[in-house]
Amino acid sequence: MQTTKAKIRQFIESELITKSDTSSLEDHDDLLMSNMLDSLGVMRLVEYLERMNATKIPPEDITLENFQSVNKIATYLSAQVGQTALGK
Amino acid sequence: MKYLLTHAIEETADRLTEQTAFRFEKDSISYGEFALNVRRLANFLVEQGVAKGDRVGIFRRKGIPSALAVYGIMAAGAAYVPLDPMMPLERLRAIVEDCGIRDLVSENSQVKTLSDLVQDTPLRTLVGLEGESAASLDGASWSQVIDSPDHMPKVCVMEQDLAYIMYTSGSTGQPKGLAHTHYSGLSYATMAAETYGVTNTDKIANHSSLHFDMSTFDYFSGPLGGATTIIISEQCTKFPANMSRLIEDEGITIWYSVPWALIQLLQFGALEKRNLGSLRWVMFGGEPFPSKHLRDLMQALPGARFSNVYGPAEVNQCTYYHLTEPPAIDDDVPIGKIWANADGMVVDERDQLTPSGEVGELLVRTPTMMRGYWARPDLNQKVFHRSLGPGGLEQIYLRTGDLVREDSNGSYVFVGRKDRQVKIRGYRVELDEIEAALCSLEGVMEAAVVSVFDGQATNHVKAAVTLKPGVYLEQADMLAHAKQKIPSYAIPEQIAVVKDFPRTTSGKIDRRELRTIL
Repeated sequence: MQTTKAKIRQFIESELITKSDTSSLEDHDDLLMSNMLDSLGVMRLVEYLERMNATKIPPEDITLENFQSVNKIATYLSAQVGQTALGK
Repeated sequence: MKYLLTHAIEETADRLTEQTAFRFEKDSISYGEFALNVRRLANFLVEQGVAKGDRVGIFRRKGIPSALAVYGIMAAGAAYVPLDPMMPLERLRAIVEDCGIRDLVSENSQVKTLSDLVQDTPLRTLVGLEGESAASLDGASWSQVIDSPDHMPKVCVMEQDLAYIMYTSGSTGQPKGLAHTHYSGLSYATMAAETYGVTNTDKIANHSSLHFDMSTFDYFSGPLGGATTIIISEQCTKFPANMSRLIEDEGITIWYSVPWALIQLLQFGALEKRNLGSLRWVMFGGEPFPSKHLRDLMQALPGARFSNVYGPAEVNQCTYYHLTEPPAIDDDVPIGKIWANADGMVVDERDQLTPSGEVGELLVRTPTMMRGYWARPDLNQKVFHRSLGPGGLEQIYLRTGDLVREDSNGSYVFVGRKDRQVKIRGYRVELDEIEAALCSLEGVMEAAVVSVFDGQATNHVKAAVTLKPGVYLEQADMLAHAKQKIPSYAIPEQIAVVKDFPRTTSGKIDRRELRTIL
């Protein structure tokens, strides 16, 4: 089974990368400084993550800090899942 | 007397030396310090051989050094050419060669692209490269620039000389450069600062990229009025919740962007958690603002005034429409009336004035108009309408290519385009250019590109191609090819391979029909 990070990476690589670049995406790569994602890309990624986890991501959580890299996204998602489990 | 864009910096630095000119993240620079560094950069460039009339590129992400580059290049007597830092190499090379750029202000993050660029394009000066990672290139660091003399270099520039060239999509696939002078730039800066009452108590958010014409308000009108311009990083512009936090934290008073950014702010900006009471003007332009979203935004920001700004980049701006109340849900927001110190007329296909209320092309005559497209006499022949005024003297109008009609209040309403230019989240895109890019791929026989409005917020580019017999191409291959030729915002979201296109009776591709099946 694919891990969360692998799924995110695959979605970004196949659907979102806007610059032609053949090098592969690493989990710690800065998605934003390298301009791999544009504003529409961020929104599509959020939709994908919401579908994948069947939970809504509140607008105030869609931030630079949470979406900087595949690692950061995965950390955010696991924290969110934890919160949902606690009924918050 | 102020007749150059750089005079605005010099004068404001004398008047408001300690006032913050630009802010970027945690960094600030005062007008006094900024003016000093502008002169140092200008001297440095002159020492490197930059002469009056040269074109100097700015190829870096936004930040205080970008603002310095804008003014430093102009103070050296050259024209600045903002280059999209995300641009594919092929396009970058085309622009650098088109206007003969030999000097660039850049940064380390562009080392890879620059290393490829210098292989076949001789460059003289690369400012802003530092340390080990840039060692392969013969660059100059900012500390070298700072060591340059801080007097104003003696370059004889007049208001009709070029100040900047902005490149935009061209229908044949070759980007075209809009050449603006100090006169057109300063005329715009002055008129906009006056219209929106820019003063030294204002904090202007710079949302637009430097290569996007809306940035001239932030970089020219701001300093002219003595305001502080807060530069928003490219990364931050992708996150509405970060943008709304920035507006609150910085106390932004004037916002100017494409509607797309404001719709995002409305939908994902967590506005109910922020206090954006500092905003006094929200200006938007570049494309129509769907009225249902504008209505919601105006209700969410009751303290701000809203203004629809209109004008092709060729003239910066030529009309505005201040909204006094939220628009009705299905109403088109007018683009307004021609502003002071400009003249407009609406003509039919034979260049005859149309009766009031009928649709025609808007032509404008204004001091804010570009000098012309760089090295494109063919396009200049077409874009300027020359008519004879009183005394047989020539009056030059710009053909906007926009179809408008006048409403009962005398305001113009945008109806559509005469050609196949579309706006994608505010960016100008020529559909013909995308078709040309797809057709240049070996194996593609014909390509048709359409834009489809999603009914919500933005247009989407979709494409279909037919292939030569026996050829098989994956969508991914075609996308990879397109990404080398055209900017990211113009890349089709979908490229369908079809056996044949829907056709009109004369055999032409029926793009209207195609749109319904994509």
